[in-house]
Amino acid sequence: MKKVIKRYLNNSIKPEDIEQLRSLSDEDVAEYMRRDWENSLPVAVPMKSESLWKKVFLRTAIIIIPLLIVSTIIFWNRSNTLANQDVVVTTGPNGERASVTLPDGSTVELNSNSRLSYSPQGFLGDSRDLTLDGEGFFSVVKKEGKRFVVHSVLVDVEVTGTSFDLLTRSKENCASIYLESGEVEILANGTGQHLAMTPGQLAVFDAQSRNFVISNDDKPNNIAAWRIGECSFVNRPLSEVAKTLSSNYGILVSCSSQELNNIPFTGTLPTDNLQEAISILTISLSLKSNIQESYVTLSK
Amino acid sequence: MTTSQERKLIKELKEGSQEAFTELYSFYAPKVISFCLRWTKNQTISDDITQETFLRLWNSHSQIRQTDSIKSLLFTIASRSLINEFHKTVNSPIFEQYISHLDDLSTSGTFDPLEYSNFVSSLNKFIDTMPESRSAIVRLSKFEGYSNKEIAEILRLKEQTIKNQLSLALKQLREFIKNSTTILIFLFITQIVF
Repeated sequence: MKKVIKRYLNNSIKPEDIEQLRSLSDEDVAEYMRRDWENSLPVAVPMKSESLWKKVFLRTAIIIIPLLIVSTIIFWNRSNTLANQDVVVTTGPNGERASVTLPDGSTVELNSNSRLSYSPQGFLGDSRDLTLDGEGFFSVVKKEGKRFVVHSVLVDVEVTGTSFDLLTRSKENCASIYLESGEVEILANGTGQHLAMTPGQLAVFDAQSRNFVISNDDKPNNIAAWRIGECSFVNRPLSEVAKTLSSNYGILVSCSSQELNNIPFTGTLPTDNLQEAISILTISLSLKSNIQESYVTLSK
Repeated sequence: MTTSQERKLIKELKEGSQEAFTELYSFYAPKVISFCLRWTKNQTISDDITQETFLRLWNSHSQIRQTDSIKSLLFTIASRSLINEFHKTVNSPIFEQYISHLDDLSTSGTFDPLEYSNFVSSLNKFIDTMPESRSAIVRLSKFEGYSNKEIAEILRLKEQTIKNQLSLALKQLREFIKNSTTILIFLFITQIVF
């Protein structure tokens, strides 16, 4: 039963689930709600919500309102600094992920080793802005006239559609965007290059060559596969696998010699267990590994 | 907000401080709204329940105990309405269609789900463009769940007329889709065709 509720909350329920949902008693619903409430992520900072604020107090007795106006002024003056703070969500290595719900109902699934920040106050204005360093899968709620823009070191992604995966790490020199559905427009910071993408496309921006490379990915298994805790590779060179592992685990995984770089690897690696991932790699490719605290080297 | 900060605010709230109330409101309102949204899928209702909850919190401020947690208190106040709205959403025929919409989307490979309220309002907007009798028939059939026979009785028309009108509506929806980028109506069509 619990699975049905989870699917309902994630908007991924099936037609067959409806009967079950409708047969829930008040007590059952209350219990699930309570648990969900207890587990929900706390909002880190106060949010200024002017219109709702007004609605609440218009309904109360008129006597309260004059008093309210005075205290409101005092409040805004005092807590102005608090209200201007950004919400920051960071995730650590080893497959740690976070699910963030934004004030407009959009969601972001944050991959490991990532940092997402936004201003809740800003979200109430014309432009919904976020800053990302790392990787996130965005599901954006369409709002007429309100832009949704994700800023990162190399590129800005403006969403006119709804779901996409953005991978951008400040330490690496490229950003990649996979558009699952809808439309996005990307702006390369610094060069002013614009790119509009359509669903199923993968765009990789290389800061060194200052170019976008687009591919229409046939089977984008690896992209956003991290969302289910694993990383799939089909005939990818070992150097690429090593790079992905490095990003995910936050340590340097590299090959000891050039000849190893192009060895193709096909398989699935976990994103939350480094030892297991390396072990699968070395066993299937007949390699040895040297695992240290901050780096891993693969050799013959 | 730390627990000691909150305790201080609770103390002030009990004494009737609107400032304290405002700070608690600013901190918890977004959380309550998102929570309601998750369970009711409806932005307007979520806003209403949130307002109502904070209003009741304010009205009973003198009865709050120092040891209460605002987080639990808010839930206790909101839960009754929230449970009712949950039942309403899940039982509505439009929600059923929304589910088929999501289901069809995931099987067709693209996943561009409209939020439920957007789905409902897009649907409504389009149906309003139809001539009055046809839109009435569509609403009775799709929104209220009446059978063709029942609709025929209500509107005093022949059952065959009802069927014709519904299939005409279907054609119009198809045209609408060609000209619009919204996928959702397409799936509404697959619902009409049984």
